[in-house]
Amino acid sequence: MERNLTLGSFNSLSRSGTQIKDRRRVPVFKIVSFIILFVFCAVWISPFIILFTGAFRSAQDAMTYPGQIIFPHSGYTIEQFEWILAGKIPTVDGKEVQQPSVQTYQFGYWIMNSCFSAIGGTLIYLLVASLAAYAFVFIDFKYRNLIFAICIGSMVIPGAATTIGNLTNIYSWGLNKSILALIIPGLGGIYGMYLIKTFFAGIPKDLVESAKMDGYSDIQIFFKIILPLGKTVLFVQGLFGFMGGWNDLVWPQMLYPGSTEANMKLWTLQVGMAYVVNNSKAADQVGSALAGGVIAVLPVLVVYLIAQNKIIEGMSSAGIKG
Amino acid sequence: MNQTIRLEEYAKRESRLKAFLSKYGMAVLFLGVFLACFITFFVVPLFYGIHISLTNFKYDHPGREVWNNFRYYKMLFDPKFKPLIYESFWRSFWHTIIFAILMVPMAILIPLILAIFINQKPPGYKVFRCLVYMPSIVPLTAAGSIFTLLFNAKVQHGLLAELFPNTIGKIDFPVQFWPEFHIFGASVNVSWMWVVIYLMCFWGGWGGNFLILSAGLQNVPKALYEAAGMDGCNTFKKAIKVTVPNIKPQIVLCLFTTIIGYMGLYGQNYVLAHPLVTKYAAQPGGVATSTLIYFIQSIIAGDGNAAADLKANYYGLAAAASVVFALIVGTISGIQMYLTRDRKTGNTISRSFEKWNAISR
Repeated sequence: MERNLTLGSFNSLSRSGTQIKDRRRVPVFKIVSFIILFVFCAVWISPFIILFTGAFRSAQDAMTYPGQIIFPHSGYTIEQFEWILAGKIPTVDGKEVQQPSVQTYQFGYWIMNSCFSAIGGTLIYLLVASLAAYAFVFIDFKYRNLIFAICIGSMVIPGAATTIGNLTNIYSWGLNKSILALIIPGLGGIYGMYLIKTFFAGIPKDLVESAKMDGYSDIQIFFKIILPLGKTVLFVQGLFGFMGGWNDLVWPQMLYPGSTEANMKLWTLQVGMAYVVNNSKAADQVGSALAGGVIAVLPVLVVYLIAQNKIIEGMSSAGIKG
Repeated sequence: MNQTIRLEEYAKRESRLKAFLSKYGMAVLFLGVFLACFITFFVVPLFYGIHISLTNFKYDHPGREVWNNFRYYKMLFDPKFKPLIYESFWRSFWHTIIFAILMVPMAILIPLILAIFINQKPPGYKVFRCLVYMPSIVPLTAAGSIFTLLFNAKVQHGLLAELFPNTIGKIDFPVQFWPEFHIFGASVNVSWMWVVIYLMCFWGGWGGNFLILSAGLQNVPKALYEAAGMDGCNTFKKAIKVTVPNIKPQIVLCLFTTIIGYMGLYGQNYVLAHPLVTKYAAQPGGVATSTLIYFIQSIIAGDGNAAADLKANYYGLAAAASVVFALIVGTISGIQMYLTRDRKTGNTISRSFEKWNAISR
């Protein structure tokens, strides 16, 4: 018996060094980190649980039994969603009513505008920026490096410095009553172009040159060779563009200030939700804010959960700030 | 004779155009749209903003403005010119700075500690990583609705006030103030709501740092840890003496991006504490939780008649404030670029950025 044991340990020693280590000592630090991470994540996820359970309980419950979050007094319901989508809000006693003092919520318009801003803006920007990145990497022209250095150097200047000028230009072009104004200032953004350019720079130049020998034009090379090769970086950049566009608050709020009916139809979901949350503080209407919060968070959450590997990879490798 | 010369000139011009097109046509085709956008939506607005801040510009009558002798900058920097606006601006400024100073250590330390734990690769670490980053993608209005529910006053059935009636229930977050204090001539009175804003940033404000730091940790050579273990370092000492020096570039990157991020703090304050007013109520940035961007936004994007007046009278003040903001943040970004540049391979800015990218990879 004893002999077997020694033999066994000898065998494991000869196989690999790590196995002995595992046998000799329990990975204490690993277990400790598991426990700490578990507790931490449980605490950090709890606001999501409050958001989702809070949105699916009735307004009456939220006021009478606010502590019963997980198991609401009278069960789960979607009445909060029905009300805010129909532009109604509850009164103090939890009955549905259309309040005359507050402008009707336009969730349909807000969702559409947000989709336009996030998806449309991102797609157009990706095309414009990848064309420019191609020019910077594969086309030789005078002052190329100078132009690129100016673009990169301008990254020190924060976006806030240009918003007033942009806004004034948009007033004078008469675009302040159009949702086009949501996306056009983003088209001059440097950061995405810079990321795409660094990726394109890693593509071997021989590939492009041999394609040129075969008689391909630059446009054909761009669409047939470079774009398929660069789809990873385009995908990652697209995801960040989508989330950035969806979550943007400052610029849309500047464009359409004031809660007039015409303006409210131009708001994005973030501006509208900020209005809803601020209204919900005045009376007992937090339920409507939570329901709106679920609508606002769901698209980004779904995108994140589906593509989380790519997003985490992109964040860690490129060092982008979220 | 005359006609021949004209024809020759024409032919020359034509051939020059053709030569130019064949040389630069592709570059113009590919780069043109982007450069046009960059100039229209970045370069021109930048200088237009400076122009607006130096004139008596009215946004509904552009083109008729004249030089106004630094009037808006006097409002911001001369305490006697318009005392209330001066105080309101510097109050917003110190709010922003103090908040950033309080937030930055937390936004580096907590993700660093968590990244060290994740780097031990406990079972299911990928799930943990996904969950730790998750709050950072939440739109701040959604987060705002959660924290409104949590921290509402007791009369409005705030969740924490109901659960802990004797401690949190006694604080009326939006309305109660801490005592006023003075800092460099600006008086700052702080609402309890800042605690809620801090907690909200603390919940979802450092996910990016966490990912960058944990990516940096994975690149620390294992041999260093083994060597340190041989020399008798315990786990804590290893973390201090081996881990931190090796991920210094990532820490510097996170430090600066976090500072720059919190200099632009706005949304959290707007969503959580919009209706609050102070003695500066009629001034731009007059709410209890105003910041630099809040100051600008309250002139440009306010709701209601009072805000419309502000916009009509102080449009240039917002431009001046954004120029000041850009100078502050631009200086910080410049220092960051300087620190993360590559000393050996030349001094072009683009190269330093490529280096930065390589570091964080």
